Amino acid sequence: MFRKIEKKQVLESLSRHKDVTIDFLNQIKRIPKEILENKGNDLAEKAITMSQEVDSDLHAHKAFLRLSVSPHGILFAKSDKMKHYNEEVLLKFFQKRFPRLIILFESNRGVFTINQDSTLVVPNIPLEEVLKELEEQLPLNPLLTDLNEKNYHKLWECFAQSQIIQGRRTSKQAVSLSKKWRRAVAEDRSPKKLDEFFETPS
Amino acid sequence: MGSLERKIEILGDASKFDVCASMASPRDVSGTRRVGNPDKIGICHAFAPDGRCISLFKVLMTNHCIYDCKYCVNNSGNAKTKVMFEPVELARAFMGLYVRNYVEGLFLSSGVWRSATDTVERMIEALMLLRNKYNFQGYMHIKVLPGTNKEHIKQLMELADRVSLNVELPSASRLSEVSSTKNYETDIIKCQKFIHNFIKEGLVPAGQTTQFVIGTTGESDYEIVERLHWEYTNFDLKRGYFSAFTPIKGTPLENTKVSEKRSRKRENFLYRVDWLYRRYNYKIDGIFSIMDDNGMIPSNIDPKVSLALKDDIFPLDVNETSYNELLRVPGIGETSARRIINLRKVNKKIQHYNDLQRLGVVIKRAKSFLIVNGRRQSRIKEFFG
Repeated sequence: MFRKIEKKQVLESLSRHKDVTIDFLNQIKRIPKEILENKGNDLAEKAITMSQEVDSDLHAHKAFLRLSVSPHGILFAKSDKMKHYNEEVLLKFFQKRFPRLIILFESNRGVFTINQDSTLVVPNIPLEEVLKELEEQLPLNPLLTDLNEKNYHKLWECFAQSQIIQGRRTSKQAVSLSKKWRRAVAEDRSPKKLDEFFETPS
Repeated sequence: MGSLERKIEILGDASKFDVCASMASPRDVSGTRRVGNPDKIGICHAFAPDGRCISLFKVLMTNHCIYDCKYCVNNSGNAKTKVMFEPVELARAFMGLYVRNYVEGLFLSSGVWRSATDTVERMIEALMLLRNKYNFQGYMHIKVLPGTNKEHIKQLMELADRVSLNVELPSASRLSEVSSTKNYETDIIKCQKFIHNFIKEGLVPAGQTTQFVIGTTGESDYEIVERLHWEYTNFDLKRGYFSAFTPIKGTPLENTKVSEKRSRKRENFLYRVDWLYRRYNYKIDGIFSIMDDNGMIPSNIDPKVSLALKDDIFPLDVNETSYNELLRVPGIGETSARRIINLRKVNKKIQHYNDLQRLGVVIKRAKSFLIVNGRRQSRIKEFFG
């Protein structure tokens, strides 16, 4: 049930950390597997903490990034909250979920897209322009055309509100929630505001 | 407000007491024509004000119901507005939310409209649209309705990743206190047997679960834990869920006085006991032994501490103890126990409490039960003999 920490995974995540240096990575590589994976010393603990920062950044985007739909078979989203170099992994996650659709994602480092072989970065051009260019070339996609009519954000608001059990609303439980998720809690905020955490293109 | 929004509002609200923590399935998916996958990492798309994860699109097919369960918002006597999804409208609403990354999967339950057969047929129609028309390969948890026939159960199980049927109460006599129309044996247990047999044939990779509503009839924790143990033993249940009873307006029990705080604590302790039984291999008799004369788990002490105080294996030397014994120490969980054992393999011994803290052990709870580097924190009374 619990995800085991693996050296390979820690090194992979660390390599995407915004502050990581080659020297630090080499130091971590030299730590024996058992010591690193089980937080056997302070350096191992630091490495795991840093890799967890990267994983949390990625996980938050997987969870709270809302995608917009273009009927031409494109799903797209923007976020200026991505701290670490997680764009490619995020795109792979969505690509695995929607293998027939094109995924576009704009972060502070440019617009990213992905195909079976590689990731493409388009710096200095806004997402809207990339999208427009792609839409001109691509035919309509039947699935996304079918799902393009309704105001799904409104449906989401209705649904999220319906799930609240008033009797269980307690500030204590919200406080006991892990810090990394607290900013995403719908506590006394409407789901609309929750979505504002990540700017969703209209 | 549009009719679809209104339906989601009503049918989402009616489903909110159904509990489901899992949203992943071991099923592998392949092919490029599909949409979605049952991701193995739990993703919450929002959090409710009490910290509950909102991940699945959790709705009922309809809130019409022929049963008269007194605690239930959908009971036949409740004059609340009754609505029903058309299968196609449910499938489209869900898919629209899924491709936009609002939800991780579908959790579909229902009241029983006209008969279980009529209702389940509509549910199957919606699920088939999702699996066949939209090629949806993501996670679906389906509630089997009481009294569903064997053929329909099989069809539901062919489409779902996980199914569950709420037993709600621990025995037929307890159920009869709150419902005159539902039969415990034929409507619930018989269906669970069908589900169990189909699971043995390889259907639903994520297995079956069930749910109890706590505090409706004055049932004891002993009754609930005993029934849950029976379910684990006979139906190979994945897990049980508990939902503390909340009086709902418009139901016969709306004026029942309930201490929210106490019932939530009771719910929490039942979850802890269930965890100790399922994950830490505590014997059921040991768990019964910490209950008081009324069959209730004492609310003033954590169940694991209660069990540890009754156990005569303590104190344990942290550098010598086996994994299973470490799990019995309050403040040590699966992750920290595994880390202690793994470090021992490379001759890394625990010298200080700080070492334990780094491994994730809750020192405040654990130190009375452990010997670290030959020393143990003793109580003042013990110290002075």
